[in-house]
Amino acid sequence: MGKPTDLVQGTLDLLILKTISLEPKHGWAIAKRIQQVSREALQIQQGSLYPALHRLEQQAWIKAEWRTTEAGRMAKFYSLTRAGRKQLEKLASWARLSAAINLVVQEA
Amino acid sequence: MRTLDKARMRFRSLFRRSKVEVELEAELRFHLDQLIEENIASGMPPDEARRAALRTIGGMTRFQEECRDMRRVNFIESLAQDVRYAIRRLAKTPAFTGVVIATLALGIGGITAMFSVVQAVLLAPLPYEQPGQLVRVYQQDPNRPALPYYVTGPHFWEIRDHTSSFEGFVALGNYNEKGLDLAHDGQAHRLRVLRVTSGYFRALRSGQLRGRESSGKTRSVYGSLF
Repeated sequence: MGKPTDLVQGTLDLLILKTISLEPKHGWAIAKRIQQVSREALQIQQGSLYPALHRLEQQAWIKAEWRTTEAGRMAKFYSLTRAGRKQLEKLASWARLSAAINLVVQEA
Repeated sequence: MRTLDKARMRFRSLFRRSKVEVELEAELRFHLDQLIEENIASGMPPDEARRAALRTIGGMTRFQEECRDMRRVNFIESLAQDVRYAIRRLAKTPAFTGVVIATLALGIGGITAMFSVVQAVLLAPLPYEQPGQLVRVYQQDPNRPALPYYVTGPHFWEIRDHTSSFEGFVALGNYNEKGLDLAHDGQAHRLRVLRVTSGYFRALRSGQLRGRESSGKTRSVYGSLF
């Protein structure tokens, strides 16, 4: 396992919101999914993941409910609220802008 | 909508704390178990898998604390702690506390008393039908215009008989705290008395409980019992 990537808060929020935008997921699945999609580059530490989830829930961007996993265990599943979807769009447009700026910076 | 959701979350975090805590515990426990399973799946013996998982996850209590911070209710809890601390400190220094409480009590009491007087005397309208139309008339010495004098008897009758500016023009005598005695059925009663001129009740439009008020322009002075 690589060194934990230092994530700024907004980026982590964006990653979480994006990850649960398709279907509700529990914390473990969110971390795994981000790790997988980023080809192991992003390791979300539990110490940042769960506080972030609770913060987002507190902001009413995501909501949580207890559901049974495929393995038959109870887990807390997070899904996007309507406000969360808006927030995701906002953060995503910011990410696009930042990517564009990165392109320019690398070219120069 | 979102404000409402936020308020509901805040409420839940604050007042259903034990439930929230249990859920948080269960959530982190689930994560830990997933980690253990993953370690076992990658070929570790169960014991070692568990130890490795605990190592990775670090102090669980620290996460819980951070999650609690994120729920933003810690500040309310620390406020409660501060209040308790303040009470303990105050209890330890009774002299200081006593002086502070006495100062506050006297201050608040004084202001309240003063306001009651101001309210009754200056602010509250008089208990008559049209208090705004009541005026008090003084007479004036042209040489000393700043000093208001009471209207003297002869002047009063003159003004009353000839004025057209007022609906009614009445006078009342000085109030005497001693009052009068009234003997009735062999028993004496001390009455509070104010002497007024005829037309007094009509001018104030206050009506009488008993008796009859003389009308017309008689120059009589009545005793008013109240």
